Amino acid sequence: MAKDVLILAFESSCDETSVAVVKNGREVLSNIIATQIKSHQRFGGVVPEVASRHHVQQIIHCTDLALKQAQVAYEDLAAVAVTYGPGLVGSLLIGLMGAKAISWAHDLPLIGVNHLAGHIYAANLVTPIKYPAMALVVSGGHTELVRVSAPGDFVILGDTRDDAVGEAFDKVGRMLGVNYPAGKTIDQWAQIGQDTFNFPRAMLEEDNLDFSFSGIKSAVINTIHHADQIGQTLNKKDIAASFQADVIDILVTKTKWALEKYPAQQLIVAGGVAANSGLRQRLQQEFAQQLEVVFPPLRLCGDNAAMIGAFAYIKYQKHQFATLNLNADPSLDFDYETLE
Amino acid sequence: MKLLAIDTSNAPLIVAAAHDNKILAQFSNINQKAHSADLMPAIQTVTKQAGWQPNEIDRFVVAQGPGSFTGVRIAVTAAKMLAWTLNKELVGISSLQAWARNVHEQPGLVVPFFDARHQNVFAGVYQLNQHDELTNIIPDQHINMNNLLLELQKYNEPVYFLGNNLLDYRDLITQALKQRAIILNDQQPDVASLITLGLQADLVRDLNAFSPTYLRQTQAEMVWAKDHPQVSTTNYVEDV
Repeated sequence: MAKDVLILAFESSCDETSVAVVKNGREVLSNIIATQIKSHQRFGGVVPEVASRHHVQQIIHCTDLALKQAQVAYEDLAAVAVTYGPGLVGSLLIGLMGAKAISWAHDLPLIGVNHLAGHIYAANLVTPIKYPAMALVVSGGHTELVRVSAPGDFVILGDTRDDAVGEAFDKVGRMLGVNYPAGKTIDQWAQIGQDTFNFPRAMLEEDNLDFSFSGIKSAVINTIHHADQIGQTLNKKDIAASFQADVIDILVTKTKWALEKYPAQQLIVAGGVAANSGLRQRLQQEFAQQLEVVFPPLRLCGDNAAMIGAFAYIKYQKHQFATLNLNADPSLDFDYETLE
Repeated sequence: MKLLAIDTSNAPLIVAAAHDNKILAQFSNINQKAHSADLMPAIQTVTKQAGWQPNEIDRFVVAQGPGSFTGVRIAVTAAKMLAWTLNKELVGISSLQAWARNVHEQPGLVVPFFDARHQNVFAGVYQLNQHDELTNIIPDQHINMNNLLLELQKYNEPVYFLGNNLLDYRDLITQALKQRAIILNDQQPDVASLITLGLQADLVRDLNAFSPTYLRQTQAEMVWAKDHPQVSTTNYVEDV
């Protein structure tokens, strides 16, 4: 039997410092996550310089715990992996320098991982990915439909033209007096309220797989402002329900179109917004009959290093190693589908 | 003792390997483009040239700041991680003091400064005595150059200036201190200075908490603290 491949993985692209040990790209031996949410709640969103400062003071703690929980020594490891983009450059650099230091100190191969590939491969920690797969990546920084035709082979089919879906949740949340990150509360309120406002479903008149969320965000804000001006009190739960119904309609419709055009064996829902219960229900309802729908558990939906280790295993098998001059690439992306 | 010293607090990238005071290998580039890309390869090259394996290094020496926030973080993160993962010593030295240590002149005051824009600088004031010893007399801080010069007017000694944007401040300095001001055209800390200070500095006890000496809160935190004077600092980061 082949030797197990243990990868020590780092993730620090935004406001979570995370270090994990992952076995054969499938099994999480440890996945330490230190979150800075409490800090950035002071400012209503992530402040990059503050985030970078926190990362410096978490990186050893997280690495130490990850190795201890996994009960592995450096000689057990096959490689060190790290997110090198996309993300906040100052934040990315901390994981990057930490990973490179360990790679050099212990003569371990270095693997640079695209954060989005990590989100998608979180699915592999739940069930083996079947190709071709369709991935809906929904988070505070991204909203993309990605076709995964073979291991590590990604093509973007659709992307947001303005705000990411998680960003829209946070902005609407702020209008409703919900602190960042607002997704969880809006999701809870949406279960109670009714879609009484019927906000416009953006981009559904266009024959493409792109998204737009700034219009719906403005519609919500205008509705609230207008009500304020005429001294009317709106039911926040109904606004949350209306907003969420709108967003889910858009995501589900575009996903349906994508699957019609590019049939897949699996639908992978990835990223922080994949934690949204309304979205989970609707996607199950719509697609569970026709293909396997994979939602990573909540802990693997948000930013975490286990998902980085999961994808790093693919690159390890392909011998796609980085050198010590690997740099952060804040706007790293997949290739886009070329228009015929 | 085998020391590896690194400094990326500003434009220069410096890495040096030394056996006690004897420098065995060094890399020094005054205007390195991307410290995050270039630091580890430079460490690898210098260590190799010194004929060492990574785990033979006894002590990591890092210029801890002040300086460019991102720049200092790059060296600090690399150094603390290396010291931790190899179970070796770590010392942090002032980036300003390291530069001041370049000066070997007649007794006087040495003032290294990094431009922080709008006539603000990160600067410290160091006393150089006749035995070529250096003592800090005004702590490193973020200060307006005019206020710093007012302080320096209280002394009667020659004042040696080293700065990364000297031309912008030359007139201001000579106006305030006249002939007492001696402006040195020195571009970066000498590797020997990093090693000398690295041998003397106290060991870092808490590697995880070890952080750059920023000398300046972030704008967001300053504004927040002003609006919330009653809130004491709590733990803002937690494992989940």
